Amino acid sequence: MTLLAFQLALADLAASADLCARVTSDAEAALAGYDLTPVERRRLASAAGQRGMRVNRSLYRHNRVTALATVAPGTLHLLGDEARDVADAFWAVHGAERNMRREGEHFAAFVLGMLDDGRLASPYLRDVVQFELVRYQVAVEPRGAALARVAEAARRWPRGALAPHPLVRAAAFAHEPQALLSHLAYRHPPPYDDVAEGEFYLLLDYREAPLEQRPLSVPQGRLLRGAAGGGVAVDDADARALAAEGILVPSGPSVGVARRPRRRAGAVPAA
Amino acid sequence: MSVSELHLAPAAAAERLAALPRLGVSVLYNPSLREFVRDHTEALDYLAIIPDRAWQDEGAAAPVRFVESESQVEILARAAERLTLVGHSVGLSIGSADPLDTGHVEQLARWQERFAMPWHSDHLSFIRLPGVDAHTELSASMALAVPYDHEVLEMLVERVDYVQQRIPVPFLLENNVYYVDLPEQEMTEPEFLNALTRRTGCGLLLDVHNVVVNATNHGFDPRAFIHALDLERVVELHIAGGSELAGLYTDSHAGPVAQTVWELLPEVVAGCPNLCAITFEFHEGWYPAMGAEGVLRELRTARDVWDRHRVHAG
Repeated sequence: MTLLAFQLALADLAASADLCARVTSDAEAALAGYDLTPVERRRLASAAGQRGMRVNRSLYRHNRVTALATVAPGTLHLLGDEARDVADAFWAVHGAERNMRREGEHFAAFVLGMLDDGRLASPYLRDVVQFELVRYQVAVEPRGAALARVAEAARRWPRGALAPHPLVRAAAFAHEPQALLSHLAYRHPPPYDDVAEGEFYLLLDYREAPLEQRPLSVPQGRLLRGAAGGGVAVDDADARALAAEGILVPSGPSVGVARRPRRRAGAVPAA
Repeated sequence: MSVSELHLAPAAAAERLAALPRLGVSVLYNPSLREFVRDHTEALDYLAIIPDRAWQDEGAAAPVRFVESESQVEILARAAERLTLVGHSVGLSIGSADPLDTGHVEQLARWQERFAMPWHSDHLSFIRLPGVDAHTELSASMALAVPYDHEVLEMLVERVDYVQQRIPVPFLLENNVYYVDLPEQEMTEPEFLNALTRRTGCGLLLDVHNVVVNATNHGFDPRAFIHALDLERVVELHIAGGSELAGLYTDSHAGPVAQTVWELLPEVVAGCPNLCAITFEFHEGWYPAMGAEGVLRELRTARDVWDRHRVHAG
């Protein structure tokens, strides 16, 4: 057990300047929570105060920021000067995930939580963090397996219940997405006064590489997002159009198919 | 099959090193090199790849654990039509104190078979940390060196045996870079590496730049370090550049090969009788600055050393 505890403590030192400071001032107390031998404790006490631990901490931060910047570059841009504090707060409660998608999902949930409780206030942040997460999720979806599932379902249930193709997603926006994403692409600082507010949807389509994105009409966006969890009946022109494009595809037997999901009056589109 | 049930005689494993093909000089593939590999195949004698960058590990509890990137696999498969691929993984974390990730070993075995790699390698370090539940695997976010103690040696001997038994080509471990000195270690790094290779028969991937980084930061003579190693075990060399950070010299793979590495290289190449490959590694962010010509220049310099100084078999 102690080698494992030693490795955890060494990794924790590389992640926390505060822990390094506490170990430097009182190693016995600061390392009391780790099951260590006296030699391991002396090693960690020495390591905490070395210049090399500052390098480790810099590398830790660099590597974790790189993961966030890969999944959510626009989110970090919008966070601006707050990005460092938000990342620190996130890292304080979430260890580094080996799986980058899950790291991105945790970070997105963390940012949305901060928006919900008012600790963050950027008007564009909710749109962008949700969009970037969905974009990453669909981009790492295994295409071969997804295409095979779609082909098999079409063979077995050619007139079956429809569901969104597993390689497409609809992202909801409360701001006009093309103008908003263009500002982010050019790293313009907010506010973006020319970006209209309203209800908008983008289709993310990875049925063929590379991943493409294009606007969806509001009815189609609502339909796709509402249908993400279950079947849709071809009961109107929007569903027929999406099915004709292969965006809605047979996914199972047509028993118990849900109708077009209806939105409550005044409800805000969920991510 | 448990880790402790497996053992490949060290002598047999060592004999396999001497029989490996002498490949020559190449690069460690990164995404910036996609066009370079296509357009400059003649400059490469093989292609070193990081298999773990071509898949996403969904964790041991997932129905499909390793989700491979079709585009990455396609690029590598195309390269494999013209070049021998050599695997250099980063995710085995053989030094982690929690149980060896045998699922990861199986995935590496599949890749070795798929691309008929003549050998494969990973780092003598740990990066994986136990997660909070079966669906979570945490990372230290960097490869951390293991202490050079007998307890760690015993753990690694068993694991290297397992990897060598499961994957039917030689396995090399790379000497790590470290920025903190751990006091009271029971062996020096060369003593530890020599004991590990002697007891398991595994090979060494000697990262010359890592030696330079450690020597610079910890004040020892890189030549003495290299000559303290059993150089018969060295199959592959890594050469790279670095940069300053927080007052230390780091293994950042910043562009061209460090001058100190070039100065050491002829002596190292001449001293390694089973050397099969010299691999130039750099961070992909440096490609725009170096360009194809910059990469070719590093390869030409390495090839010149290879041609002049390598020990010819037999």
